[in-house]
Amino acid sequence: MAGILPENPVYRQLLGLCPVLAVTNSLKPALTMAAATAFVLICANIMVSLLRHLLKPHLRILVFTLTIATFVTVADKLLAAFLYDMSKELGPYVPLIIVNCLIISRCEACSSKEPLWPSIVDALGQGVGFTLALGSLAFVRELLGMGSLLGFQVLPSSFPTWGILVLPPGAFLTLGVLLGTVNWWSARKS
Amino acid sequence: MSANKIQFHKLLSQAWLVLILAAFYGGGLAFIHITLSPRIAANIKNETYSLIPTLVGNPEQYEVTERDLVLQDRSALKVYEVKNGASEGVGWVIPASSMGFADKISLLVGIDYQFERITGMEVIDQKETPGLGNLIIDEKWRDQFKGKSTAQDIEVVKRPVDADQEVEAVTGATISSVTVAVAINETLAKARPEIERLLNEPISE
Repeated sequence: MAGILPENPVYRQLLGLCPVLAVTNSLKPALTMAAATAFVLICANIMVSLLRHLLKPHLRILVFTLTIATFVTVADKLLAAFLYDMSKELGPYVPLIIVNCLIISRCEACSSKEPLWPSIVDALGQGVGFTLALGSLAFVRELLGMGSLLGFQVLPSSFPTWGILVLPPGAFLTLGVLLGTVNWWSARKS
Repeated sequence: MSANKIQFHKLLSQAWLVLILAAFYGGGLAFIHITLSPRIAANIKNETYSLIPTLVGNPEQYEVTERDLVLQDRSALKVYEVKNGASEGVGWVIPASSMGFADKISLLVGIDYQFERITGMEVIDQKETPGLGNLIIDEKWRDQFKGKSTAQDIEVVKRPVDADQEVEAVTGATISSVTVAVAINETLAKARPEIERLLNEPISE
């Protein structure tokens, strides 16, 4: 469960930054992306943990990738079938979960060595941590960039929206500021 | 010979897990695909149908018939024939697509029933650069295509338009703009003879 805060995949390990930067301009796509990633992470961790005694050291990465790619395709199809608008908005970023290094790093570091239960708990923790990170970024960017949250207007229309935050540079700016805040906060605590 | 055999056994003893997993995952994905693809196709169809009325000038009552055209190059093209409540022809909606700057751009083009002028254009799928190429989905830009003749090619220009068949490119996104025009020109040129043949046919229904 350390993945939620002390080992947060984005703020602490700086993993999986491609979707962090690409789909966090508003909350809805960010949360959909986080849910899809968590789904793949949990399924892949379960599968790899079950297969861990059969893995050959030099073929393990191949098995990880195969497993991850399969579950990503499942997630992609599920999104296209049940959340069509979201799947269109996320576009190529759903198939790109395959190369999210967060998932392969959990397969390598945890589920290929640990029994089933700790692997599931680990995947859950990392998944929640990833969701928190994407959610916090998208929260800031959508609130200040468009004055809305989840598509609903929350700031008065007199608020001058910071358009840059919704554009790609805004992703880097927000990530930098939030990362700095997390570091400052944890340094102060210790 | 026997060395080869030993080699083969050695490889198999290492790779069996990967081979079995690949077959197993492949089967699972095939199952998921078969289960979900009707739903995905229905989503795309719903989207097309929801856009059809705006493309042909918002008739109050309308019905849509799907027509499968066989073009001269023997490829198939599905077009939508729109009629009003009194079964008079209102227009045609034709899907068009072409490779844009980032990925395929898919459009729906609305044309009047006599196939003379464009009555509307919608972008149904594009992955162009946000802030530049994706401005082709902007309504004001798309409205430039309204009223263009289907008899001549549409031309994209990088200055204010001064001729009938011209459309002003999105600033900084010439490729995306040209792609849209090319997709429309090519598809209309191909569909035109087939639709004219349909129009000239004696009514059999």
